[in-house]
Amino acid sequence: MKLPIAIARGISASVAPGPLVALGWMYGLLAALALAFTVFVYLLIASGVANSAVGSQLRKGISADWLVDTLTQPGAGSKFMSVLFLAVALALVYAVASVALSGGVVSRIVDRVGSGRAVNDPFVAECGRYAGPMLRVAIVEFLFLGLTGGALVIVWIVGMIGNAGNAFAWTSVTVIAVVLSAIAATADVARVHVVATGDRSAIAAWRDAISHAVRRAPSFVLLVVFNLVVALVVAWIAVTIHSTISRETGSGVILGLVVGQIGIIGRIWARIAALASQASLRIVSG
Amino acid sequence: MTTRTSLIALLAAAVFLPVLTTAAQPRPGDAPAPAVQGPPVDRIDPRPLAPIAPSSDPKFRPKRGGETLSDRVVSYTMKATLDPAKGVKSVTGTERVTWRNPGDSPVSELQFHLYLNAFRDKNSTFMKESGGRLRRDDMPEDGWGQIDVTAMATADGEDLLPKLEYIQPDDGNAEDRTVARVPLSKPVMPGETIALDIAFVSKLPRIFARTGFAGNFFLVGQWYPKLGVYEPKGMRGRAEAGWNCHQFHANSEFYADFGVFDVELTVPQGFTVGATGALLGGRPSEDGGVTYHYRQADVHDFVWTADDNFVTGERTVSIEGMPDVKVIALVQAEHAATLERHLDATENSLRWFHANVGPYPYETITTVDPQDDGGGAGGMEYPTLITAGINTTSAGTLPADDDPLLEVVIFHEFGHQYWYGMVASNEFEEPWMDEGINSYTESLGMADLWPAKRAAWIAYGGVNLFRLPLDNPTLGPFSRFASTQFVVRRGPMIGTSWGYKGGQSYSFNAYQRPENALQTLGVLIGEEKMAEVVRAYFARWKFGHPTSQDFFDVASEVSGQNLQWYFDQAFRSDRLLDYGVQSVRTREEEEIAEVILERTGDAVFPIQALVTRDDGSTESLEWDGLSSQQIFRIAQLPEIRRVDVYPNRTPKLDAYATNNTWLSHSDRAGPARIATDAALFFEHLTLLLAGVVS
Ligand SMILES: [Zn+2]
Repeated sequence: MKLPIAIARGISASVAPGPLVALGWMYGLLAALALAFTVFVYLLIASGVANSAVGSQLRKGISADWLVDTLTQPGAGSKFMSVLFLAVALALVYAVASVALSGGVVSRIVDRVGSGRAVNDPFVAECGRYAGPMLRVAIVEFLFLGLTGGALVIVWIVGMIGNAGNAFAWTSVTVIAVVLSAIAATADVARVHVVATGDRSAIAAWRDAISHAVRRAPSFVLLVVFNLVVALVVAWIAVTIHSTISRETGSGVILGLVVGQIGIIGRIWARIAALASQASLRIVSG
Repeated sequence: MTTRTSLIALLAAAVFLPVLTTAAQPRPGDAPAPAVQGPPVDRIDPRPLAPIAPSSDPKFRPKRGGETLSDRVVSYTMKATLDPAKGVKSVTGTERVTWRNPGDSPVSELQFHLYLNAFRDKNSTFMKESGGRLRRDDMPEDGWGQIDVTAMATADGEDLLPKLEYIQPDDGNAEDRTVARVPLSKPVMPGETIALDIAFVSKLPRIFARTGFAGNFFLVGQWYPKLGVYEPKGMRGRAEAGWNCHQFHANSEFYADFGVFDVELTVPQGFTVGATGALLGGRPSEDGGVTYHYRQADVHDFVWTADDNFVTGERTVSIEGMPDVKVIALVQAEHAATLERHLDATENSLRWFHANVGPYPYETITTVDPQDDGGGAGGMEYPTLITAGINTTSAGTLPADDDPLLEVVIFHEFGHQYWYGMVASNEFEEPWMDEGINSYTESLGMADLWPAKRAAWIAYGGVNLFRLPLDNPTLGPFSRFASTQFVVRRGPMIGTSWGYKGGQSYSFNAYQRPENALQTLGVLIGEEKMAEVVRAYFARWKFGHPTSQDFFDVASEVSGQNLQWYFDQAFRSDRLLDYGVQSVRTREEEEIAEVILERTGDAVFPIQALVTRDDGSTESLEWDGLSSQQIFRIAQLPEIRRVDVYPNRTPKLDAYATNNTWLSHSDRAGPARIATDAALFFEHLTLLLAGVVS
């Protein structure tokens, strides 16, 4: 019964006021970066197609005329690189910032799933308090993900080049997704350990998380798979609904923007709910 | 064949080419254009044109109304046995080949293609040029193939085998054994015929490019000693008579004489066979297999396929004015659901070509679906037999209903029956004449037959996973990439198939660039005249081996104007075509507007631009396109809403589309849609990447 309880507690915690503040911070950060990206890309495209009918073609999406011109006109290379560079830079900013915010997010969740710990400090203060240990936990996580993910991806690529077949194609992708999700979930438990115990050692946090994952392996792995499925379904719904909206007029573009952002909020919520369910499994398990 | 760069590869090339080469490219239109009288091309830029062969001597135009469709210079009577056993995978055969000297002087040697030796080892010209990487497949270590001639004698018994000698007319690569010469002790006199008896063993390569085996699927192409073409003086503009017998190159295909092929094929029980020509009968063979007898006249090659995994579909197509054609499809059992689709596509292609180009004179057409591992054999053309291939379309995935790639491949390969099969230009020396004209008819046929199939899917693990978010994702509009500086500035379109420099240069110059140039010719002379040019070219040159200049001559003749200036710049130069609206400005005090058109490339094209005003009235602006800029002073009111450089059809040779139109107002919603979509994509991707470390 521990698994359903953990899921139920996780979901109810994720929609409580405290975690919703955390969600607001996470989304606000991403939206600000996306806005900067939108403005940059808009100005670049608009200046390229000013006074040309190719501009109106874009109402129906990327057109061959626009794509070929954009990629082949003199100076195209540097424009393309500038967009790519900006996207990578902004994504890195988000990755670093989300590590910095993780102390606040985890403490809001731990409050809700009932560790008995009650803090009423502002969100930003909580982020600041745990910034050091959270950074160290994330570095260990990054190493794990990089090594394991890298090895699995190499196996996958070698298999795909060698025409290993459809069964391999799907099994390998599933294994990669589950293993990487499991590592991320273990890191989440380590973060919970930091907040719940006040122990600032990343090594101790990881040791506790790994021993929890091993001890409760069946429940832990099932929860990882459940959360992965939820995340995929939410992402699929977000993309599918957005794609049905015609964006051929100004109001259509705005509607598409709103619906698209709701989908993004949904995905961040799924991430926080996953964290909350793992936290409650850890706490229920003792 | 289709080296049709897949959409993804094309986009990837489009993305990375500019990044890598922006700095090195000259800007179009740097050279100022002096405004003097004279032939337009030389006036703009006096750089020399690519050399081409002159028109064929008129006496080499194919004669019509004779007893046979083609001038049958050769005949092959062959017997072949397939051994599909693991580790063997070979064909043992004998052939009696006859050759008639078509010239007016004695010939004292014969030249043969031994194509399979291209797969002998890493040192063949083919392998060196392709680096073991071509048409998506790598050469596996155990996959080598070769052809051994085990006996060769004249009909009166003179042993020629000791005299057989490998030659390398193209590159002098002594390791290449794809062409051999045999000196004759007694020359063949004009009009006289010689007969040779040859025995050979062909070890088939693992399918790598165009031919070979994959498991129990066999595509047996270029498998027997095949004569080159002896060209008398004046044929294809030749200055001196001689053999035209090129080595097998990475990108070159074929050129051979017409004749009669009579072939008996023996395969083990359980194998289904398809081949060039009509099946005359089958009988059990002495070794417990089955022998099939095929015959076809007026073709220049013979190919066959065998597999124990085919399902077969057949239908008879009757079209008024030509004999019934049996359409056969041989499809892998796992792809049985697409059997009807193969037959439909083949039948529709046949009907389209009959209606738009000319009659199909053969009794059969067979479409073959190679095994998934044999993708390198997909998308190939041989006389009356073509290969399609699910694998060439979407990696083992059955094509989605709205995905045109299966139809594109079949239509394209069927089109080769006309350009490669019947017209039979020299693909080694003028590849554009086959692949380019074929790509042009393909673009017309696809638009006519399957306008609703417009999707491009990304497939993974046997599933069509993701439909590309392009409004009009048929590959057609992207062919314009071949008109931009990244292709055009590298050199003239016409060249030998092995002479192009750089990875995609061959395919751009053999396929898309000529397609664009022919479409642009259509804009110049009108669509109806262009259709007439295609029909007239086929009618005059079927079974004829024409040169590029022969095509140009037909176009000039049919259109009633000398178009040499156009062909010189579009086919024989590196001139870039681009016209645009530079600006529209008003002079309030004079109550006039100045519409400024500009030539930003160095190729010339007559322009008939159109001005549209707010009240819907229009005004045409005519310009010979010679100067680098032309200012039109017209009434300011009613206000000008729009200017189109190409109001009717846009020539695909025009390099940049954005400057082809001018609107009084810029559209904001279009760029906003792309920017917000891009940002949403960025957010989703960022969450995916950052989600695991937050
Ligand atoms: Zn082709």
